[in-house]
Amino acid sequence: MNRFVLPVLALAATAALAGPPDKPAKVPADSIKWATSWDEAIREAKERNVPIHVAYHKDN
Amino acid sequence: MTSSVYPNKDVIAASKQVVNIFCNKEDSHGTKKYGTEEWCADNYGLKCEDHVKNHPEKSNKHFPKGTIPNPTTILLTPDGETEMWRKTGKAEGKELCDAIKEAVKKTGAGIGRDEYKFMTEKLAKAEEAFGGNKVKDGIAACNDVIKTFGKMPAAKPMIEKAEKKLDTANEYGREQIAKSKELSTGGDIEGAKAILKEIYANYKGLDCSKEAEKEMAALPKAK
Repeated sequence: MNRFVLPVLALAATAALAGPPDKPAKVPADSIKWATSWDEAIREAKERNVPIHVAYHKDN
Repeated sequence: MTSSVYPNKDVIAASKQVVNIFCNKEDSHGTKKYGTEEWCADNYGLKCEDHVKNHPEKSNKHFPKGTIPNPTTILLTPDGETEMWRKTGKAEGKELCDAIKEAVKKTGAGIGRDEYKFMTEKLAKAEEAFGGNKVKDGIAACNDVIKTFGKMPAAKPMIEKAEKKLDTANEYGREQIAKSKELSTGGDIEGAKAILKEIYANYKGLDCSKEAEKEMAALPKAK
């Protein structure tokens, strides 16, 4: 009997200690779409005939 | 700005009238999971490696003196060559929205982000459908672009892309009709009919479909 019960108990204890898995954050309903590269930004801006908004940042 | 200005709904709406690029050489933001996707913890939809890579590419041009005030917001012409507006230090939401509005006005008629997304997705769907021999779906996707945005002057390059795809499909249909004529001349009436039937049924809306219908009517009866 112990042969089966002990591994199950061990697994349950491990799961309890590990806690719940990281929940993914909620996908924002809408957000700024950032181009992934300058090539992409310029190609799309030309195709759409729209200005390019450049944000330079540095963390504090 | 990352936590206060960029999530602002008016800024998000204004951002759809331009193309946005984020430049930050810090690579220690970590990642955050959103559903099945994983992005930079500070910038939804962007990976740290992208904003790090974007930073040095144009910074020498935008800051020739070498010092980069933090933050700096710049609006450029569509070719990325000419500056239209610059703000050193934090740009407040309204200030950024007004600057974008003015730059868009100076640039002239353009395509909004949502419309562009619709068109690029339809064109990609058309490409996939034609490649996978789902011609009807490809024609429908191209026609969606043409019918929805045909009267928008700024959408002309995208409309031309859709029209080019339809022209290519029409050309292929005509080649198949020519092939059916060869079969018919060689006496394979059933083979010719099968090709014409396929072109007539699947290429509806294109000239080759009507031409296939006429050719079918003109076929001699199989013995």
